[in-house]
Amino acid sequence: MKQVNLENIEKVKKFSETVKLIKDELRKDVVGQNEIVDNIIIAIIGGGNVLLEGIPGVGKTRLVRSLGRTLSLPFSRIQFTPDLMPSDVTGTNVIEKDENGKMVSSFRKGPIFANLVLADEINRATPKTQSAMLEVMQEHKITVGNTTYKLDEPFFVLATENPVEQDGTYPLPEAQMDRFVFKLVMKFPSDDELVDIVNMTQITLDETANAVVNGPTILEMRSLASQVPVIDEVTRYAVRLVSGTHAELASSPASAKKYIKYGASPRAAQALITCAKVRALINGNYNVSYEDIDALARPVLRHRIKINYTAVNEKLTTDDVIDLLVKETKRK
Amino acid sequence: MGEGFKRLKRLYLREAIIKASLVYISVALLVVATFLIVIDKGKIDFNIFGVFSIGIGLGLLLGTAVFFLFYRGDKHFAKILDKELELNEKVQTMHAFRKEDGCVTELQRAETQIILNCSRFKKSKRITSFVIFGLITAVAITYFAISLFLYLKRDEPNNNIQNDAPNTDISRPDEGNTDQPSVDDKFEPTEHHKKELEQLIEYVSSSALQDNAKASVILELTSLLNSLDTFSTESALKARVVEVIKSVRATVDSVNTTNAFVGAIDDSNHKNFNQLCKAIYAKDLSKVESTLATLYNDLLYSKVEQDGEIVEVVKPKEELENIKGELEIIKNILNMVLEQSTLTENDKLHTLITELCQVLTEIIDKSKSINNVFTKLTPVLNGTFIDGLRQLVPAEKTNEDVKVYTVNELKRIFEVTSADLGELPNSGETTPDGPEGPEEGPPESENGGSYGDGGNNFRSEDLVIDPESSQVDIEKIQVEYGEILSRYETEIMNNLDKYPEEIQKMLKEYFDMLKTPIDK
Repeated sequence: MKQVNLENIEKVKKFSETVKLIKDELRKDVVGQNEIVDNIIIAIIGGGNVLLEGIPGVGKTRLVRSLGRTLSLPFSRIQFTPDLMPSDVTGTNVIEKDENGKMVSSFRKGPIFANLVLADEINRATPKTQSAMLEVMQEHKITVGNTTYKLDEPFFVLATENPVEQDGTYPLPEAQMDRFVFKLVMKFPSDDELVDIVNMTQITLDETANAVVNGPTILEMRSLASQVPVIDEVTRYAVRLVSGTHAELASSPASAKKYIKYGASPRAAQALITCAKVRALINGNYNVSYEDIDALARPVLRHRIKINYTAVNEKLTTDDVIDLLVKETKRK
Repeated sequence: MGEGFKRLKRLYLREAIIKASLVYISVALLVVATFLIVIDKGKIDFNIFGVFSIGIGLGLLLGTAVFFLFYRGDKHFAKILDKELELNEKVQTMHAFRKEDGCVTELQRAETQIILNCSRFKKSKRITSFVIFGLITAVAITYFAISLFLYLKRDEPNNNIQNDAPNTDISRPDEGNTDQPSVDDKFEPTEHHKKELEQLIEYVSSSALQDNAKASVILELTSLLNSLDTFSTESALKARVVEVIKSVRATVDSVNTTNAFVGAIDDSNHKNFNQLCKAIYAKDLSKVESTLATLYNDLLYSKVEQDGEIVEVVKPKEELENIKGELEIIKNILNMVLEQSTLTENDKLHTLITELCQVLTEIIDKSKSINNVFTKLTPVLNGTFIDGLRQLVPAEKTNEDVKVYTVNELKRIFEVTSADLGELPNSGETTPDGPEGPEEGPPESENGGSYGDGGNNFRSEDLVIDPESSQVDIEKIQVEYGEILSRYETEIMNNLDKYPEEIQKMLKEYFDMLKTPIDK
């Protein structure tokens, strides 16, 4: 057997330890929501943006703020309101006097210029403002006027949306939804968790997580995760899962034909494989398996597909339909 | 790929080979055993060497298929390992990226190799798998053993071919047992029965039997052939054969309209007309023509002596009323026949007779001289009527011949006797003698040794002199030689295998030749 490079072992060991540290720190501020925490970490290491959905008060903002502290990344919070303008997000050119008293135009950076951006209640902003986020989320750069500004890596957008307030909200367009690698749903905590939350917040309302990792470390972790091998069969399985969401295709499973109105884009397949690699490495595996794909199917697909009235009539949720899809898609 | 992988692969290949071998043995034994049972039942005739070759060949084919089902290369084996050892695609990844370098790839490979080095296949699963294959092989061996035992038992010396042949005891007719229905015993159709029946069907197909009758007869015979295997007793088979014989007779008789015509004839007072009817019934065209000619001549000519010779001269005109009277008698007989027979307007004979009656009516009502009678009667009687009969009689003769042959063959193949058919002894199929034919016993031939009745169409014709008219006439002579000959034939055909090939051919040709009617 070929001797294994010790350096490689160290790299992977460091990866696992870092992830553990992040989780431990986040648990100081966030009670429960283990799956959400795990998936956010996967998304961040994978380089994707996350959409967090939940009723008010479940800890969405707290989680993201805590994450910002843990990752010791420049953090900014944008509270989206209906009157928020695109320039309020990206920044704008202003005319001001320089030291010589001359009037010059200079660019004032908006809150988007951070490594970790919390876009709170993103569905309250107008479509125009939402579209300002499109370029940023996908390409990590902003164009203002004729100038393009590149954002520092790693860059993440963690957006929250409140499903309850229907009035005054603008549903996110599919194109923007597709930019989120995951959509995570924060559920109401259990009684025990709520007790812990109450007890914790009696002590302090501030986040107490410490910084344990920085931007370059995240980038190293991302690079390491990208090296995790995936066999062709697993890749094809992920692809079949995504193409199976398109009911118009002959190869799609019966449940897709019956319950799905719109299917997922190819970005879903990319997200599945990228995040599956991270998940495998976090779990101590050095290869992606079918199990990794299955575990990430829900967060990757739930905001990318649209179920039809038949599913609604049968009281099926999007997650239920995704589960059926996973069950009916064959592994080879 | 690592020692662990290679070790497990060796184990797996060994198992695959064993399983493939068990499948090969099982399939070979099952195939051979099945063939032996089928040969034992007499359903096919196959060389034992050929049977073993087929079994071995099929066994090899399926055994190889099973081997490749279990093992199709390292990639497939990696998949099997992942599944059996629940390794979540580790081995497949190791195999797919075996030539790649990379931080995580190397670690993955190393980890998987370590896991495989310590892994073992699950014993319980292996044991279950082998037990199943073993059971299948055991069943195949048992089945083969039983079939081999039955096959060998079948080939014992006292179980020879003659047991399959129909009983052709020559002494049977003297014992007078032919008229008794056969005793119920187990019946198993042999290849001989089927071959004979197939030949008979072929004969009928290629014969000139009228089309609508042919289709029905072939259908009956084919139905009999297809149902041979369903009969378990001889009596059941004979009952069915009797039904087929009756059906064949009825089918042909229904298309032979002259039978229907003659059946309605009473013993006519008019001698020549009566003889004409007999000739038509006998399907004897030459006699029909001669009798018709005689009828015509007797009507219009008289024999006188001139210069020491008997010559025919036209009757004098004073005879006209007598001629008309005779024609009236003939016409009345014909009309009566039409009424009493089963002939319909569609039958050709009906048309001929009707036209003749019309001419006769015209002659009787309108002819004022014998010349007029000539003018009207000649083109009909010696023209259209005889032409019509010339077409009808031979065709119906052919139908009759085919019917006789078919029935006689069926009787011979399945040993159906007159008693089985509910007929009197020696009342087998004969060439028709006219309406009173069946009651007459077969006359002896002057030449002797000719073919006769007794259920076959072996017959010959001899010239005899009619004592009343001193005219040379042709009579049909039937003797019982045919029955003896058919027994010879049966005995020989059942044991044909024992003769060399060239002799077999000669024998077949000899008996076929004997069956062919002699041309006039």
